[in-house]
Order: sequence, then structure tokens, then C-alpha cells
Amino acid sequence: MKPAALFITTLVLASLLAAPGTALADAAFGYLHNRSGNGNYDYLETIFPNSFASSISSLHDIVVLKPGIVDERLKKRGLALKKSYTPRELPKIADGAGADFFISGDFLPLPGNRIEIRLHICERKTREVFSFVNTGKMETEIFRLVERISAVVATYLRQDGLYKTRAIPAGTRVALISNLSGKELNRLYLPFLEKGFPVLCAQNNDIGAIDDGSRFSNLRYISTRTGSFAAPDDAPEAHFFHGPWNNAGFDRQVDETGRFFRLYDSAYVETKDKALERFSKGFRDSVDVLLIVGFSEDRRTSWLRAIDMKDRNLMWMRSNIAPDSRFDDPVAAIGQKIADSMGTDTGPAPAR
Amino acid sequence: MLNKRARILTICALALLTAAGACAQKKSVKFSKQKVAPGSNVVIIIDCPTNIQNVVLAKFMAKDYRVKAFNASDLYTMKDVFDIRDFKKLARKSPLGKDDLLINAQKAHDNLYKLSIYNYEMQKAETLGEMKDKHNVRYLILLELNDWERVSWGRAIDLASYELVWVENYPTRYRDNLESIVDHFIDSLAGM
Repeated sequence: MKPAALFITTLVLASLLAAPGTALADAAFGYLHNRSGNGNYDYLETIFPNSFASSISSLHDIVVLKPGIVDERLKKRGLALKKSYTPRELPKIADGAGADFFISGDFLPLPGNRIEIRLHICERKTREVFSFVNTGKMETEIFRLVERISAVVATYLRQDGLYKTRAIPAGTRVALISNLSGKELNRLYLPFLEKGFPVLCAQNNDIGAIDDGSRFSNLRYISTRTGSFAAPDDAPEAHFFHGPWNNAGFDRQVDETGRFFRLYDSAYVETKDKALERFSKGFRDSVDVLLIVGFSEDRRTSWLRAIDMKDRNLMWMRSNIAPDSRFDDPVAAIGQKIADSMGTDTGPAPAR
Repeated sequence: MLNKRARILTICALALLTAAGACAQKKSVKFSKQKVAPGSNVVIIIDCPTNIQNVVLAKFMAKDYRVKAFNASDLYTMKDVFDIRDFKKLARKSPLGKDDLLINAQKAHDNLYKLSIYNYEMQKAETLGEMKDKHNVRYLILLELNDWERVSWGRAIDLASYELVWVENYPTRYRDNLESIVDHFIDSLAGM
């Protein structure tokens, strides 16, 4: 074979292998912990993950490991599969399970023959955890619930972290926050305005914009009652030892510090809920959806998070949005992709 | 090693790609949902020296817009109430507090940053509501004027609905001057 032909063949093979999304995601299931404390429901701790694994594997063509196999793998590494994990423990278990994603969670039977299921999906490579809650009816509709949750999981695994609870129809009033300003911001707004989405005056009443550079990407991590996306840290929890030996001033300082951590860490969801409630009131209840769009420095990739301001829950999440062509204005092209997919159930096609 | 012709072709392709990208970003953009007609009560925010501000405001006033004294003169005490600097950009560089308070609290610090963005937008919205209620301002107009080969841009917000009602990116032409750009934006706002 001539060197040129060999080079082209190698290039084609390399590009095929490197194309994101072509490799099937490989997920491992842990147990789903019974939060009710009622032992009559304990049997579901194994049945649920096995059902999800079977459904995801058969309907969505993803290789999924069931809890039994995961437990065997962990034992070989000197670990054991527990009923429940804190988010901080998940990356280590994901490493031990040896799959791209490790999924565990819990459930809580609710009055009215309903059940709430919460899943945590930890990506081994990024160590980021996506959690969501889904509620449905038990018994006759349990299979529908399993299929619905399986579809959410499969979509997330296969489509660059896509999660969307519903379509956003034209006419929905959107407050849009991004790390763009000036003429770039106008180019982002245009597709939304042309598609009939009233854009409210968040951020666009500034001449400049959020200029905190990479800090804006903190907004990728989001916590709401029914959906969150976070990167659990390895740092140990802060403990402040105090007691009768300390003076009152020190105790007060410890209380103040504890309050700070409660407000901005352990009870952040409640704190943010209150902030968003004030946000809604500030806009005189005119905001339907808060859309946060973050752009990379060269503007060629973007991520989005959308919060439904009616219940302040995560309603749409997407990473890795990119223009289809290098000749396009990336801001306008990405804005167009997002605006085009507002009304769909799924969102923009993954970047290829 | 690439030969000379290949190198030239590569450089040309890269230049073409860069130029195409730059051109796409300088394209004019315009959307108008409603006319901001002469006679409307407006506030104009523009980040430029006072003498240029006067030219811009005079242009609007000459076209019968009722320009409210905001960002207009230091003689007005309104500057103390609505600080124009808050509308210019977010400045959040100051540390949260003593560093020793933040042991292992990066997440809390990040969350505080996120909350500050929500709070900042909320407070601006409240301020805009006050501008409408107390000072009878209907539209907030933001302008940035730039020289030839750059893009001047503007936006108008209807304070009755908090909605963005006009956006325009206007690539400044060689023969444009300050007045012609403002004239262009006024005509565009008025739907002429």
C-alpha cells in the first residue's frame, strides 16, 4: 500500500474510533435502597435495579451489569456492594465496578399507591453525578414506570448528558443567563425571538456581562428537588469541635460557621429555592423558564441548564452542544440549535 | 514535512476559515417585536464619555423621545439611587471573607457565587420595576457605538412586560459617524 493511501486509511479509522457517541456506554447497577424502613418492600431493592438493567439493555442496546455481577467485581477488589451510598462514595464504587457509569439510588412508597424512585448516575471518567427523581404508580403501572425511568437513563447515557422533562412550547417566557455580552448576546437572542419565545430582561439590561470567566461554569452544577448534577468532592466534611471547655465567643463563631455551611452547602437546595422565589417576584412572576447557557472561551461548545420557574425544578440539561459547521458563527448556530429544540421532548442532537 | 504548495494551501484554507468565521460574527442582526415610537418615555444607557452621551441623548430628544434623566448628568441625585455602574457589568472579584473560614468549603463558595448571580438579576429586575413605577419610564435602551470595521449594537426592553422588544447589531460602515449610527438606531427603534 502506498504511504498516502495508508495515511488516509489510518486517518479514517482514527476518526471513526474517536467519534464521540459511537461507543456504547456501559453501565453498572447497584441496589435501590428502601427508604421507608418497612421491610415488606425490601424485595424491591434488588428487583428494581434488575428490571432497569434488563429494560435498558433490551430496549436501548446498552451493555448493563446487574447488581449481582457488580458485587462480584467489587469483591475482587476488596469492596462490597452496599445498599446505599453518599454521592461522595460513588466515584470510588464506579471505579471498582469497572463500567463507564455506576447507577444506584433509592425508593420511597408514597400514599395513594404511588412510589418515588431516585437514581444517581455517576460517570467514572468525569466523576460527576446526575441525580433525578421520578414518581409513578405501583402494581399495574409499575412496568410503565420502569420503562419511563429506563428511557431517562438511556437518553442520559447515550446523548451527552441529555435530560429533559418536557417540551417548552413557543410563547414560553424565558429569562436567559449566559457568559456572553453585547453583540454576541444579540446573536444568541435572535433565534429565540424569531421562534416566538419572549426573552425577558435578565442580563440583557447590562452593557457588559458576567465576566468571571471560568467561574461561570460553576452553573453547570445544579441542584433542585427533582434533578441535580454535581461533582462530589473528596474533601472530608468540616467538623468543628466545641463544648463546655470553650468560651461563648468561640461557640458563637462555630454556630455562625455551621450556619454558613448549612446555607450554602448541606441545605443549598432550600437556600436556592428561596433565591429563585425572590427572583420570580423580582420579575413580577413573568418568568416561565430560567435558561442558563454557558459557552466555552472560543464559543465553539456550549452547555445548557433550564429550570422550570413554576416548581423550580431542573427541566432540561444538555452538554456538548456544538455548531455543525466550522464556517458557522458558533454563537448564532448554537442559539439556533437550542431554540429549534425547545419544543421537542429531547433537545438538540449530540455533537458529532 | 509539507512541501511549499501544500503549506501555502493550508495557510490559505486556515485564513479562509478564520475570515469566514469573522464575517459570520460581523453580520448584521435585527429583530423588532414592537415599535418604540417617538414620544415614548425612555432611559438610555450608553458607556461613553459625557460629551458623546450628550450627542446621543440630543439625537433622541430631537426626535421627540422623552429621555429620562438616567445616566444623563451628574447634577441629578438619581445617580445615588440607581447606580449606573451596576448596569455596566458584574464585578465580583472580592473574596467572600477570611480564607480560614472556608476550609474545605469550595462547594459552598461556588454555590454562593451562583446565588449571587440569581440575586443580582433579581435586584436589577426590581430596580427596573421601580424605574417604571416611580419614574414612568417605559423603555430601557442600551447602546454601544463602535468604529468602522466593528459592530455597534443596541437593545430595548419594555419595562411594562420586562421583555426584550428590539435587538440590533449594526456593522459600522466606513462613512458612518457617531450621529449617523444613532440616527440609524433611532429609525430602527421607531420601525422606520
